[in-house]
Amino acid sequence: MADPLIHESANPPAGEPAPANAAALIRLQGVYYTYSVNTDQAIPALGGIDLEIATGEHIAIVGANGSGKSTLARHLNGLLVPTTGDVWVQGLNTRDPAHTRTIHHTVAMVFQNPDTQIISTVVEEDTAFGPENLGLPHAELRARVDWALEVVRLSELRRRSPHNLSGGQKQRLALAGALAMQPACLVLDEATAMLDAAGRRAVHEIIAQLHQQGMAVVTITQNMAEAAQAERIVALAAGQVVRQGPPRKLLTDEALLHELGLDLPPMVRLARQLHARRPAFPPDRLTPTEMIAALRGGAP
Amino acid sequence: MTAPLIEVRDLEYTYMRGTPLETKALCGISFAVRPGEVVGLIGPTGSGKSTLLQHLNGLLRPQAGTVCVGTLDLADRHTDLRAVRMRVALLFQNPEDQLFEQYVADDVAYGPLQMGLPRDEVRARVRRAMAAVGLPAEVYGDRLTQGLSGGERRRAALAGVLALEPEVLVLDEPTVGLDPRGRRTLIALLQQWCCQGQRAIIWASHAMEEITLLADRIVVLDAGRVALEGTVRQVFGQGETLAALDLEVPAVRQVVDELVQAGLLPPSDVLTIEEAVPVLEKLL
Repeated sequence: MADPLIHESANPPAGEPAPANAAALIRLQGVYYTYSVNTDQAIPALGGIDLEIATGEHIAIVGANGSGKSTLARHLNGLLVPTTGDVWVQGLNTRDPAHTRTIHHTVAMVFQNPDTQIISTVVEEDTAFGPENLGLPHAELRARVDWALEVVRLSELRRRSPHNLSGGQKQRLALAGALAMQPACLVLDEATAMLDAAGRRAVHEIIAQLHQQGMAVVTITQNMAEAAQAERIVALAAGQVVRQGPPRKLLTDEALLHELGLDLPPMVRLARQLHARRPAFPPDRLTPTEMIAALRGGAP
Repeated sequence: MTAPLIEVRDLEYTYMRGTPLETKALCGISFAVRPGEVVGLIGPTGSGKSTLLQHLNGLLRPQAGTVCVGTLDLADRHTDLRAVRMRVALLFQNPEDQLFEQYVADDVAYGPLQMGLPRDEVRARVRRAMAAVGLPAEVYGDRLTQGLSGGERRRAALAGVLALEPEVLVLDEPTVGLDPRGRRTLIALLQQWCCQGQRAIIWASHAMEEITLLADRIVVLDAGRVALEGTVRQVFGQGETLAALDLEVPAVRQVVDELVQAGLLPPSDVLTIEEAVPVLEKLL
């Protein structure tokens, strides 16, 4: 397992065909991944992941540092290919180089640091970079760039240099570049970690809107308030999926979160303390909005 | 009052001065940091936080106004910047990206060696700094920097600046990317570092809950000016002013503020969950 090359040659280059019942947008089966750094010791990062992501679904992947979140994210669009096991995107095996381009348009990624994702010296050119490489007709390219900049609310700054944008604006530009590919799924790897409150809120609103329009969203995060917005949470520890379920169930499970090295969201902590004093108070309020509603409901 | 470790007065700074692209980043900033203090620096992106931080150890020189580190005046071209940097250490965002030596102890030793300290002194400092961040030299000194986890790498980077044995530690978003356990460890060790001797920390962050845990005082920047300054309780008591600056108060304060506005609670200055419980319980 130490050397991925051995396994690649052991598998047929085209990879296993997708199972016939593969209705999922992305399907991972028995995925192991090992980084081989320049030492004898190989570091296993993923230890047997089975996971399905449905079309249009919003999931959050949570876990402590080193749990394998980012390694998993990089498997979703073939940036990494499993050491053993398979990943299919719309039925295409990421192991097959013939599918790489199609998979890259289907699943787009946005990373943590906006400064490392910007290539061009003009906002609209940066947004056009991805779709330009698809060889689209000019009118189609233009329409996609216009749409993507509109969604991230940067249309007015389209002729600016990215260097003069704020951190939040830069991250929205990185998001626009991903959207211009018109992906079926957007993967955000700690994409709001470096943003201020306003920047984070703006990204959250854009994500909610895209999800409503049918785009699948995978959010990799350590921020439990951010995870609470997903429909399903996948909890990782030591390269394995330890639990999956709806946010209200997982984010209120203190023992599980402790085991994962994560914290209860602050509102859940507050709700539990109020519940301990007044048992009628619900112990599972996730957000300030929910908390305020519950407290107002209790007021005369 | 004790003499400040750093005093900034009427500081101004303009990027690309004299060109059509000139941008005013700092427009007359004044504040001081005293021994034993942890000062939280908050402000929306583009408010001048990073520009200000870079003035505190002489990476940028004041264009107008003064920055004094003890008796060293940074506006004076003759001031020895090495003396300044021995007193004020700056840790950038994602400092673990800047580890470059193969072995952890060598990376921690890099700064003190550059200062021209004798080898024995460097060795002693590396040992002290690594112990302070919970990566004892006997265990971690000969490990590969690439083999450390994210949290360990962040702590190794911190050890590198602690080995300079500064009086003031300037941190730009030190907890970004760390998991809750990594954060708690870092905050605890900074608290411990600060309460030993005549030291202070300046902590720039978007993470308001952490500022609440660690800071004594908050300075709020907006458009290159100090918009608010006070104790943590005073500043987070100004929810409306902060909201106008696109800044968030801690989640507990958001809940209390909204209920106060709705006339359901009397005004109060609670900040933490423990303080909020008895206040909110009265509504139930």
